[in-house]
Amino acid sequence: MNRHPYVLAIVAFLFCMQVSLHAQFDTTIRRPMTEMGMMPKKDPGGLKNLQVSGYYRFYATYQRQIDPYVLNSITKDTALPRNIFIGDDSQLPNLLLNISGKTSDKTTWGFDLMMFQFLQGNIGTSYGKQIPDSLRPSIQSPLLGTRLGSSLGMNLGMNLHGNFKTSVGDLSVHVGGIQWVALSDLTMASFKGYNRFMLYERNPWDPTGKSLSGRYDQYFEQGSIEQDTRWGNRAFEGIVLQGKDMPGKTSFILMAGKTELNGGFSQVPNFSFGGKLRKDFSAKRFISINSLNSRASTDSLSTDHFGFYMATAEFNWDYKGWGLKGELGGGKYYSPTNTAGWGEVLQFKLSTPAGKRAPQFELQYYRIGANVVNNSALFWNTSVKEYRVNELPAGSVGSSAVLQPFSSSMVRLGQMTNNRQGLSLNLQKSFKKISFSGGFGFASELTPSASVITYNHPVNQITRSRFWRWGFPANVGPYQRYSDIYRDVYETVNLDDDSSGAVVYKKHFNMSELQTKFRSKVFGRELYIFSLLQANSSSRDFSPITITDERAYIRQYTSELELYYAIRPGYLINAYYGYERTLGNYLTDINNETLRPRNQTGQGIGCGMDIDLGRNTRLYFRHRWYTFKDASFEQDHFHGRELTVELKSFF
Amino acid sequence: MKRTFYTRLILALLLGSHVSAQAQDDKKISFTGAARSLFYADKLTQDTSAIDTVTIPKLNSGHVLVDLGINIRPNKNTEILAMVRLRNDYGGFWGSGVTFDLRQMYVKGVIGGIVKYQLGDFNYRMTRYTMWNYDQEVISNAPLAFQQQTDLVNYDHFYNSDHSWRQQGASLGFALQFSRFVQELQVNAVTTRVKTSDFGLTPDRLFSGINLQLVQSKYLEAGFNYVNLYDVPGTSKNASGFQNPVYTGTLQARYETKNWEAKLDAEFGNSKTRFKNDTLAPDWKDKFMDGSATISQNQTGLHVTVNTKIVGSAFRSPGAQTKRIDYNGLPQAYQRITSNQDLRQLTMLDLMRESSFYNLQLHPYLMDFAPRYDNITPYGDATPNRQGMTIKLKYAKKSIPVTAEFAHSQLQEVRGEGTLLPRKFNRNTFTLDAKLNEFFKGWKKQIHLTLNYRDDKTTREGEDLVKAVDLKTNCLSAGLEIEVLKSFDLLFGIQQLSYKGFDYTAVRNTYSEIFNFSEYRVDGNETLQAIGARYRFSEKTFLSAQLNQFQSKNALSSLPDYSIKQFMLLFQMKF
Repeated sequence: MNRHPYVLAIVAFLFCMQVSLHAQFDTTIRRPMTEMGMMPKKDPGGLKNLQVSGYYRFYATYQRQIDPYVLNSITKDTALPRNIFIGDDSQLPNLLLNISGKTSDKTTWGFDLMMFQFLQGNIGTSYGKQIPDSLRPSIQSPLLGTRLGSSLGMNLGMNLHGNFKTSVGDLSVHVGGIQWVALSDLTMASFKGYNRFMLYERNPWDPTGKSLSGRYDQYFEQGSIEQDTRWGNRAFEGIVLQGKDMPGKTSFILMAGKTELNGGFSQVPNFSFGGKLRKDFSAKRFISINSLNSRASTDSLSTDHFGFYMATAEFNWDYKGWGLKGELGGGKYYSPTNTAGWGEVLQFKLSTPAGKRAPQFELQYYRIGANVVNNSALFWNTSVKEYRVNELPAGSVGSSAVLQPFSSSMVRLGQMTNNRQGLSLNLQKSFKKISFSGGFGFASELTPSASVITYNHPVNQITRSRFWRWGFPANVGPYQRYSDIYRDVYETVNLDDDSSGAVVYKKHFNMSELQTKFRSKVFGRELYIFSLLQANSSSRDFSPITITDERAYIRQYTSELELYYAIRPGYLINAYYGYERTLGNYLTDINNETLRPRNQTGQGIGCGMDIDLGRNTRLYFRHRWYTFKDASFEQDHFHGRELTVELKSFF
Repeated sequence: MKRTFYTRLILALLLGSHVSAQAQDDKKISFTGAARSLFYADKLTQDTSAIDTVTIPKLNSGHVLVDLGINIRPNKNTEILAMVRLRNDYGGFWGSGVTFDLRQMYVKGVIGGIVKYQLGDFNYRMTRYTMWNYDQEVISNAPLAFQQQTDLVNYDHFYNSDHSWRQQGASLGFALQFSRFVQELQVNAVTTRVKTSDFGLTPDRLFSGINLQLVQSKYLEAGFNYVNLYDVPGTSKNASGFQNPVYTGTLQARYETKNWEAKLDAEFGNSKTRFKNDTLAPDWKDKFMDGSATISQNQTGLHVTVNTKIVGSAFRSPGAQTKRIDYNGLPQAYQRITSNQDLRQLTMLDLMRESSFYNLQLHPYLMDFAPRYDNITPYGDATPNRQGMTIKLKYAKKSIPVTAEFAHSQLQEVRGEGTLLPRKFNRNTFTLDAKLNEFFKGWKKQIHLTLNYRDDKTTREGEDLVKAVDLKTNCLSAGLEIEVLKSFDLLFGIQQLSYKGFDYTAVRNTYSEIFNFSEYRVDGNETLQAIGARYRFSEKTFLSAQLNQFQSKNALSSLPDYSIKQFMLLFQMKF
């Protein structure tokens, strides 16, 4: 008796129907009139190639403070005797991935992904935690709620790029941020100076170079080193439209969005816009019109605004090796409390041909009006008290206290500020084994501004900035005269020669620099010696050269010397010595106990090693003994040593 | 012995069956996804003599985001996708304002060359009365100038043009092919999790479905569908459980000659809605029937469709009746206006660009709807308590770059709500799509014109204590895209929506039973205008800048009339 008649029937039916089984695929089945099931039915395709590059960087600092240093005289907070810090307070990550894709010949996109690892001993299955649904951010506003992936981040954000060739030129559009953009020195650019700096302290963004000594060799040869994309540019977030190879050899840039100073998540309008239109006559001759403007609302109702306008005309002309570069225009800062109007901006540079025997000279003249403010340009604001949108403390996201003016500042040669005009002469000469670069200059205020001067300390500069790692506090230190900024600390000097609170005297500034670079071989191995001498002063009396007596409010002398020697392939030792003297006169702050003005001495002695660990991978050690002492302000002294270890690998 | 014989026979059949494997890409890893940069600058203007000193009139916002999906093919039968979303909000420097999240993840493949499966996140669709994601009202037929923003919202919520729902669960499908009498029997099955147990009073809720589609030939198909949204008993401390099975049958027939084509589409079925072990809950059963016949004349390009339907008042199908729009949401931009900070009502502008109003998961009950926007088919074709007829006349001919369609619907309720008299619904729609450039010989650049018009009317005679119902909604939209340079288009768009009249809205309890009515009176209009430009880098990538102006007037609201000007910059790419 057949117990399974139905099974038999089905089997017979299938057998007769000559059934075949298969999975549903697009290419094998007939589409029904109404498609159902998993959607979509067609494979949407995808990107087969993705470019990934980046670097890994391990950075650690061990600081040993021999004498306790008062970080904040109000709270009596002192620097800890020992400090181990894994990571970089320059906020650059352990791992940075640059990911980019090309969706077509015309469009590319890219973003970076950074990951932090502070080695704090918090062991877990993963770095982050699960977020309950109730706290998860929404699609519309992902910043609200608890964010995921706290050990992940983006350094420069995301950028989308599109290019298109037209009959009138090549156009490209970049949206997102951060992008690095420069228009011109007086509209949007960052200070490059004359490439006179020391290499002993590495920057977080420094590349490793093709060889261990390549960086030092390049510095000797070219007077500069490879820098990353931010060198000479400013951070920008928004849309940048560029056109090249336009008719009549013209090109343009149009931009709208935010600079760092417009940053923050408030939806109240706060943005910058500008652009450049340039015509090239030859490789070294061009003229251009540039503009950058910033506009922000003073309050949520946008009843009033503050910001600045800046417009310049720029040219570069070369004739048989002689170069003349200039930029001139006007700028205006406006706010509810400032209606001073337009001011002039101009800068000229005349350079001589690079001859075989004579040095190459460059003469620079600049003049920036007192009311001209543009914190995205090469010049600092030292005279206008800028309107502040909020009272968020410096270092907080969206705070407008960051990058506020430094008052009358003693600056490097080539650095400009507003309310000032100056003249400088620079020269450089290279021989086979030795090269020189130096200059001197003077600058004067156009109108007397506040009775305050600021200056920094080149020797132990970054070490000092690490005393206050986060938050960029202002007016700290044992006498509340230090302000911490990004990888630097400046000191504020109060002057005592006003007249019942009114500033009477214009301040004059002098700068002198001399850099020497030496390259040779010792026992067949590369040897590099670099030195940098600086002598700067500030006074109420004009002088064409640095004042070296008590006529100067502040006079500062620094000398730095560093040495790099490749002891064997893959190993390079280095040494550093820096000495600094800063003296104030009796028209500056006087200590109540010693009754004397500033009398500061700073010293740094360093040694280290660069080790080649393989292609694109280097290990760097730096050990520094540092001291600083102000004989008149006795609490302002510190003494210690610092060891930094950096392992960097590019891929 | 017999058992062994049958087993071997079936195995022999299965093993001997034709196994076709989809050709797989050789690449183990590839990438997919999308990226966009979006910026808004909005300005609010209120038509009021009292100055608003509280509301922020100008708002700037935006972000850049990348959805990066990594496709991994460990073997030719398996594919894994994980997609992360990285977003950087406008104004964030040096990594602030960055958010990360997982957008979707799934594995799919083929088992034994026979069964296709997908596990994790996926989009799924069945029929119009079982599982269908109907377009949102008002804004779905808007011109391209507005669609760019709506497309972003749709993308974020996984709303595709195929009307599928994003679900999480497992699905599989296979087909039996026959050599005689019928061509194929396709089988699709799905189970998804709609809600998870909280180990307290909330049970696990699943949505399961199966579809059997018999393709007899290119002339005839028939299908059987079963879906059920149900609470899994024993997964919580709650003894009661919700169940809503829906059974439908479908029939499609088609016949064509050289000049004529005839199509017949029908779906019919029933549903049950009950709450097990809950004596207070209702127990509903109802049915529906929907049939369409279309005749097309190829030479003239004319198509005539007649549709008749009856959907019972208690017909419930969560997979088909869940709406995209959640009218309980609040707008993010200008949520409150005037010095009193009154809540602003949802408008066309908000529907066009805001995620806060959109819903992602199936709902067991009928969701709230806005009668002023759509009082006739708020739940699409599956709207319960409707019967009537729709006639469509369409002109579409391959050789002519113009298509036009006119539809007239005459519907009424199956059963009156709160009264014995049913509401009567009358709808007229007209759409026109024309590629004007093709009328000019040698003109290769596109000129595309679209027109949409909808006119709705709801009426019901009054009775003793029940006022007469008379609610009208008109929506007119027009769009024009002109390619002025190669791949560079100018875009224009306008959409005007007006509503006026009176109706009652049902007040429902937790079981979706009507226990009261509230009066609903409206008199207002909304206008959206746009002018913009777009450059198309490729088919999937473009840069668009646009100025929009939105105006809202409401004679019955305490809010003043207001307008919002919007500048939008959008760079979008898909890969």
